[in-house]
Amino acid sequence: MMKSILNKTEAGYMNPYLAGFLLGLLLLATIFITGRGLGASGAVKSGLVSGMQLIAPEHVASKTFYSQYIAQHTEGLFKNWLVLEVIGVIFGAFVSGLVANRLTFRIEHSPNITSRVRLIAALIGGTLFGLGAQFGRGCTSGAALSGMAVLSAGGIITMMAIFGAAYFFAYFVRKLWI
Amino acid sequence: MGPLVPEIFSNEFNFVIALVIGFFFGFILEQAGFSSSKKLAGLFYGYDFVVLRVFFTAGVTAMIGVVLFGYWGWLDLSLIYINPTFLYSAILGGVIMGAGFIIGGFCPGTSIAAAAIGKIDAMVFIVGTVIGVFIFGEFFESFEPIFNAYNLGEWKIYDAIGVQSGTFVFLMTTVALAAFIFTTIIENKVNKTEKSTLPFFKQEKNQYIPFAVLFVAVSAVIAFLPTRQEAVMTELREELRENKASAEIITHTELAYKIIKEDSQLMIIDLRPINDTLPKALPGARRIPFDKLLSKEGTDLIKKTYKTIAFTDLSGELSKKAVIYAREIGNERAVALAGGIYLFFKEYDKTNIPSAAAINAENHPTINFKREVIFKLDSLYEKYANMNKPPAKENRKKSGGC
Repeated sequence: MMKSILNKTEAGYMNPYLAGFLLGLLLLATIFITGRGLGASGAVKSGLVSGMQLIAPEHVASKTFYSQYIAQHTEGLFKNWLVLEVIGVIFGAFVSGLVANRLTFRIEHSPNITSRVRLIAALIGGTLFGLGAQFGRGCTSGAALSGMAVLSAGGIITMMAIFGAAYFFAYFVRKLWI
Repeated sequence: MGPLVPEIFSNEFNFVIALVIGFFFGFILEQAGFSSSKKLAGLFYGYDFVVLRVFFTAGVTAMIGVVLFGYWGWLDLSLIYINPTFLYSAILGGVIMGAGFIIGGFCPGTSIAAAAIGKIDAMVFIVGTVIGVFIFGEFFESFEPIFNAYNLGEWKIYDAIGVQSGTFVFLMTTVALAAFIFTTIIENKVNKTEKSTLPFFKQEKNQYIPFAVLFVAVSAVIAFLPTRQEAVMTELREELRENKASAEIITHTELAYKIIKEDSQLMIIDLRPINDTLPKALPGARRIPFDKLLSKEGTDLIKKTYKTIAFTDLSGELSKKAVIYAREIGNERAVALAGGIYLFFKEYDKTNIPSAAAINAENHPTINFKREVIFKLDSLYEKYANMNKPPAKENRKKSGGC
């Protein structure tokens, strides 16, 4: 549908070191301005709890995890820093896709697997990531990257566990990728 | 100076900042290729190390920046959010996320960026993330023991491995550089045999050398930088030695006089470490150890008070530095107790009260004063018995998490 709006081919990606340097400056600016780092999974949590509060308030009140979260975040979904940050991420990535001519609905997968397998794997992977990010008190951005920037031992331990485990499991799921 | 929220930017404006920061975050993620699960997974099969390059460059850049900002006093490191370490949960969470990463091909941030450009697999991944958080919420009661086990607080990585923060930054920079070189070799090998599509690094190898040298040089300098506290101390010591600055002092007689008159314009600050309780701090003194004085709360106190601050410590040397520091940040009225608490109590020694019989015509005002001070001190101690606690740290809520 959106494929090749301007009939151009996709632009290349940014030099990874330049992208990393810019991301590092952004993270530094974020810490300097707000006193905290970047995040992503926190917004998912915020969205989930707010949604559940709307459809099943009694259930929310009966569960420690949700009720604690509600008690600590009284201002609502759109007054949550991470939620607004993630809305920004959506716009930013969209604009980047637009200028690089990468806006297109598609399922990216290895030729060895079907789209269906890819989607199932994405669902399982996402579920694990969502669960793990709660234990890790943050995901790759909030725990690993931001934790590394502020020299938090926990953040760096979580980072090593993420990458170590991914390497370990990579062999078993190689059919998904290569 | 930093963090700028909430003191310089309001919390409302902070939400605008969130959108702007998010915008750039998303833009950079997408530009770097993090919207492609194939590129992300490449890290684990050796055909594309873009994740490692972006991630490590970003981490090292931010880390160097945070340490430097702290050193220059631009950023108060005691106020920023440090991810707390709950050891078991941190490892368990990381392992689960690692499995999720290699199966799903994204992490939460990258999946949002990928979904924004239309990747359907990324949208499904996000649905999965929601389910994952839901599972955690539903079974939180069962997970709670391990979730909260082994709390090590705001544990710093450099303390964990027993080096200075600067040394760790230097190590991390060199490790990252070594990893960049090493993984490029692997990538080239893997891609030669498998004909992958992404020849990032090949012909442009040399252009990176100046940047690599710059990063290593900066981090090497950081490794030898003293901490902010050490730097301030050295500066103050030099100023004192060169007599560029002389601290305003207060003699024990003057201070004793103010104390027994219960001068309401006087604030006594005891700079000794909290554990040093002998001799006792002067009555009504606030205990602010010297290193805390350099932090934001101490600095704010010095700047904002309308009272005359009398700094005290055992010998009086530290107090002189504190006075110079106070003057540098704009408080001209602070004074240091000459000779310190040691001399003060030598003069007004409870165990050696001059007897009334020793009074003669010549010395009677001094002896009388001495006796008066010693007796008054005792009653003042009683009065302040409950007030001599360290000042409660202003509870500024730190929030964070991914």
